[in-house]
Amino acid sequence: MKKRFYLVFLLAFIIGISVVSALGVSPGLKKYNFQPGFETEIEYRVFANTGQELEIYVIGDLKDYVELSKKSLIGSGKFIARIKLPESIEKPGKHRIAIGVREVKDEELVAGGAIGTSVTIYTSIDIYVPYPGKYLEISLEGHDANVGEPINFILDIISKGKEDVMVIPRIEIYSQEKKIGNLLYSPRTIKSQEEVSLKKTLDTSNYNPGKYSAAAIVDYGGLATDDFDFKIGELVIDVVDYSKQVFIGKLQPFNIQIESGWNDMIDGAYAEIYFFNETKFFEKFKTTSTSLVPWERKTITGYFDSSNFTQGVYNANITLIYYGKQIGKSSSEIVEIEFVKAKSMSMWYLIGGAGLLIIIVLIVLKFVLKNAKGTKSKNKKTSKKAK
Amino acid sequence: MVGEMPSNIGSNTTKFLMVVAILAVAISLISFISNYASYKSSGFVSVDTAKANLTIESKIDINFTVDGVNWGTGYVNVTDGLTNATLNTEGDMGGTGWNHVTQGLVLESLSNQNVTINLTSSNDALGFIDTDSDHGSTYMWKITEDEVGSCGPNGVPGSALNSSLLNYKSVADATSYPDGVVVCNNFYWGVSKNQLLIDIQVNVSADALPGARGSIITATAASL
Repeated sequence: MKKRFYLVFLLAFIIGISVVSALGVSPGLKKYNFQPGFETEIEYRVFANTGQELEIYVIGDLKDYVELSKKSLIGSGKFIARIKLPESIEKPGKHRIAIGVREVKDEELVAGGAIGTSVTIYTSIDIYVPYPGKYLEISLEGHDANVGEPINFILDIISKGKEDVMVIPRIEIYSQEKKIGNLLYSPRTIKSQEEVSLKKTLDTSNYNPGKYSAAAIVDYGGLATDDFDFKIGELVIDVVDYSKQVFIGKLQPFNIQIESGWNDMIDGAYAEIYFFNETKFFEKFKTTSTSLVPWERKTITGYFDSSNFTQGVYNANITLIYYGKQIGKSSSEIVEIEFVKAKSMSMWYLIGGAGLLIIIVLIVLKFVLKNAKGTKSKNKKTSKKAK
Repeated sequence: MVGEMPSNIGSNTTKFLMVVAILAVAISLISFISNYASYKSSGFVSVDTAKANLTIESKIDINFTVDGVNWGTGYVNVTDGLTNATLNTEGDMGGTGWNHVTQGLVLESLSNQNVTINLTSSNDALGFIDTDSDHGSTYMWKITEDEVGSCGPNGVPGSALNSSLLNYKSVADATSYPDGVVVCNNFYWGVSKNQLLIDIQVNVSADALPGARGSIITATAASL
């Protein structure tokens, strides 16, 4: 055993003996539309630790059309990628060229007992080869607002086909799947590989607070569509949920889950609760105060003494008080709360104890019977021998 | 003695100067009326417009802010009846002599665009801890958000994390550089939401040969 002791495993784990791994490359992404024989130069700036050896390389299906001014760097520096594309590329769509910049780590240092960290950056050059005929891609962006505030939609249209297209874009506004409005754009021609951003503003003065959806539809012979969901808010906090059952006893918690319907910050939100029934007013207390970011859902809690309540259903008036943009507001609702006695554990202890007692009695009984049987047969054998 | 100017010369000069003066006043008056008329007729202050163009260049920049874990030196004490020891960066240390380490590697993005992150390990447990697979030594990692929302587009924290790496998993699947394994396919760059945590766990068999071994963990960031 003693000999085995000296064979125990001995290991030094040292992670990060090398310098901190940090690497940055700019630009991170460049996009070009394919043109036969297209040529350009991109200057890259590299941010690295002083003295860090870096390897620079190219990968991707178009890597043969890229020439690098440097294949390595020591620390921060610059290099140029010269791109000269062929006269034609057969496959349409996005072709990605990745320029890799890699920290070179000292393998001998690793072999010497260290685990190091290392960083590699791939910056991308995306080349978009047009599709035959007409081909459009669109995307719609917008934002939430409060009633009366404008909502600015931006519709991006990219023509990725070889042919120019004539478009008549429109945005349809829906509330619960029912169309309630239109935003119409002027007809326009989008040239092959052209990208345009079209703005349109929705006046929300006549809209009710709630959830809406905007559908952009661009007819160009085919149909390109995109959706954007948005909310129109008002200064209101809704009660989403609350403690529907409360135990009778000293200092009980009462939780209320609330949700902001406002597209701005709400401050100092709290609830005042009082319990009553048809004949009597019982208890009044406040919850903690909180703030809510736009549309946030949160739980607030208040504590009260419920020892004066008896079992049964009581009414609770929940009044929410809050401030948005220095305007104070409150809202109330009456709900029903059931007060119940806390379940006592003593009954369960009693049942458990009784069960345990029965098991013990049964075991003892079995043991006694077995012994009695053994004694009886022994006596029989003794009496036979005597005969 | 001051000589007198001939009267005919003085008279001509005076007439000439008067004509020049009248012309100058007339031109000024016409100019004034013209300017006044144009000023009055517009009713608005004239406004010049200018455009200011500013382009922010994209950048990918990642950084191991915690790039070191040091368990120091230790061993599996078989006299205590141990057959192996588990060490990780969450404070577990099952052997003798090694340090308790409570901090894993932290990867931070200082980019101005979202990126995907792959991790690669230069070797697995066989290359790092023990050359004999029969001994059962393991080398694992797990990747989580160090700051909530760092790998969760659309406001859903952690939704872009590789779910198979939320618990410790062998690095053996990620030893081929540069592919490795995608750990986060949408690593955010905003303040306070730009850090991933890489915890490491090793299990050292008592039968592993003594020595100092090494491994390199490479983080690869690429444009989405």
